[in-house]
This record gives sequence, C-alpha cells and structure tokens, in this order.
Amino acid sequence: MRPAKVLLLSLWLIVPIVSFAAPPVSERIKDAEETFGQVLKNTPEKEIRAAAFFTNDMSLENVRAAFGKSPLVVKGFRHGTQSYSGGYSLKQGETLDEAIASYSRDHLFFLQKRMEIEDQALAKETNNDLRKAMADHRKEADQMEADFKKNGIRVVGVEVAGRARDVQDFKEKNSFVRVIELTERGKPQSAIVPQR
Amino acid sequence: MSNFMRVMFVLCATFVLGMQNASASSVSCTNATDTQFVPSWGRVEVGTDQYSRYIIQYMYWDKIQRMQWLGTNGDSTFEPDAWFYNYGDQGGLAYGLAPAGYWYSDLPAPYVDTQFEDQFTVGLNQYLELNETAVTVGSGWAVLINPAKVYITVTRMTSGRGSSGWVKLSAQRGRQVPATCMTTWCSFGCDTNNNYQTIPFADHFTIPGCQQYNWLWDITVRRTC
Repeated sequence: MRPAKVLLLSLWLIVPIVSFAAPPVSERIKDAEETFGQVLKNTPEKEIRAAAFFTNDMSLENVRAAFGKSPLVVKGFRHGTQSYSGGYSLKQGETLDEAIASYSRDHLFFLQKRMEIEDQALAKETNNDLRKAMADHRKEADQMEADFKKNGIRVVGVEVAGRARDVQDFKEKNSFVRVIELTERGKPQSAIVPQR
Repeated sequence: MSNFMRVMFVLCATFVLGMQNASASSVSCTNATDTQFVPSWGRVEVGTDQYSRYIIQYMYWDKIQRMQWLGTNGDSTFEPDAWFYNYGDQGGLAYGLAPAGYWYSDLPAPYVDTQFEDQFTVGLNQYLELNETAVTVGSGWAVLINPAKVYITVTRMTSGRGSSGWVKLSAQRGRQVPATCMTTWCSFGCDTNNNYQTIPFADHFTIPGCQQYNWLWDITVRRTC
C-alpha cells in the first residue's frame, strides 16, 4: 500500500473514534437542514412538527414576543446549557401565557425539590465516593438557582406546529433561529444548545 | 481487493446490517454484561403536588468499568425507564401515564420518551388499555456519561386512575440508528442483555414514595430512602 493510502486509511479510521468525544452538532444541523429543505421543497403546505433552535439563548418574554403575529402554534419550549437540558411541553388547551407561568414556576419548584432531596441524601449517605459526587451535584444546583435568579429561564429553542412554509417564513424573519429540525411526531428530542 | 476496499466493504456491510435491524424494535449490539451499563446506584422519588404528579430519578456509575459498554460505543444510548403497574384485572391502576409539562436532565443529549406519537393528543383510553405505562427521560449520547458523577432526570406526568400504585425501574442500553441522530425515534434497545430491572414490580414498591438501589455495587440491595 502506498504511503498516501496508509495515511488516508489511518485518518479515516481514527477520525470517527475521536469524533464521538463531542457530539457532531454541525453534522446534525446539516442533516436537519437537508431534511427540512426537502419537505419545504416538495410539500410546502404540509402541516409539520418542528423544533427551532436558536443561535443564542433568549428570555421567555422575548420568545413570546417573537411569536406574536406568527401563524405557528407553539407546542413547547427548550432550555439548557452544555451541562443540562430540558423543556416544557404545552398541555392541551393551555395558552402561551399560562405555559410561560407554569414553566417558570416548575423550574424553581424542581430546583428546590432537588436541593431538598440532595441535602437529605448527603446527610444519610455513608459511601464517601457517592457523597462526594452528590455534593458536586448539589453545588451545580446552587449554580442553576443563581442563574435562574439572575436571568430567568433562558430558552434555546421552541417546538412548533404549522405549515412547512410558515415555519420557513418564521426562520427568515427571525435571525436568532439557527436551524429548523423536524421533531418526528412531536416528541421532545435532545436540544441543539448554543455554543458559549 | 485492496485492504482499503476490504475495510470499506466491512464498514458498509456493518452499517447496512445495522439499518436492517433497526427496522425492528431492537438493534444488534456488541455483547455486554449488566455491570457494564447498569448504574451502580439509583434512586427514584414519585410524588404529587397541586399541579400534577412527577417522577425524579438519580443514577450513578461508581467507576469507568461499570459503564464500559456505554463508554466504548460511540453510538450508545441509555434509558432509565420507569414503568407504572396498570394490570387493572389484578387490582392495579397506574399512578402515572405519560410525561407532560416540565422536564429536564443532565444526562447527555436528553430526550423524552413516550409510548405514543403525541402524548397530548392521544386518547386516554389507549393508555388505560396498557398493562404498564412508561415515563422516561433517556440519554441519546450515552458515550458522554461520566463515572463518579451523579445524574438526574425530572418530569411531570399525567395521572393514571390509581391514587397509589407500583412502579418498576429498568436500565436499558441501546444504540442510535442512524448514528448522530439523538431523538427517541433513533434510539433502539439492544437485542440481547439490553434491559435489567433495578427495582422490579415484585418488590411492591408503593408510590407515592421514594426507593433506592445498589446494583451489584458491593451487593444488590433495595431500600426506602
């Protein structure tokens, strides 16, 4: 085998092994753009469910305002950082304002619940390694609470329903939309979180 | 055939076979024992407040060997499933039906898993007919799970007809098919040694309540929190 071939093969075998150390966000975005692009091209009137992920995180109020005149129906919100991610799926009949209020309330409720559980666990746990891991986790909760008190929930994406062409129109009118990804029957999928 | 072509052929064949398997409900995986992916320790708390019922799960792998399969397969996925007992003819009615409303997790690339395509439009009767209802927040990128770190999943859920009930936990390993896709629709359970019940129904762990387990971490033991 010639040296160039050996080099090519080595790179080809090594790159995938190294690449799973970090999620290939660019690859996922490319796939999402291609898939949505096909739907838009072939069936622009089709009713779809999709997630719009943002370039930067935004406040719930700003996201609310962006959907003021849009024909799209908001089905859910996504929040998160590189270290955690979550969201809120709207219940049947729930208005956007009700959902925003419930989302903020629950975020704080479950943060406080987590702190309570972890404080109890730390008081009872006898294994030193698990205690240390739990203590680290508890500190992360402190940070999450501090972030929430300072900035509120920072939204990184929304799940929407509507015609494919309306989803594209929303993207074109709002430069904060980084990518549209079909949500495949509406289940919340892992978020594409903005890089910090 | 050159070595390069041979390697290409093998990798393409592997991909094609993987896709064929993915059309079923499971996918072929390399062998693994339970101590290569089941958490060493876990805890579940099921409760309610004025708004809805909820479930909070914790999990922890004490060392890298305990997650060897997850850590050495770049397309691995992991689902800490919670199943609610709904065998009505045997006196059990589910406490929870499906995820709804708020959720979050610090597992890598978390997603919500449900049994139906849309948990908010599916008819209630479809859930009531099931003998077990699942509520899961899974990880679509389990290769990034770290040892010696505690992870959490949280989700609110819709109520079943039971004012109390039983829950079982199971730890399931799987793969992304195709690789790099991280939705629940791309996460397939492995076809062998894929699923271990860390808290079985046989324990009659009654919810609302809290239970924790050690899985072959010194011993296998389950106890109230």
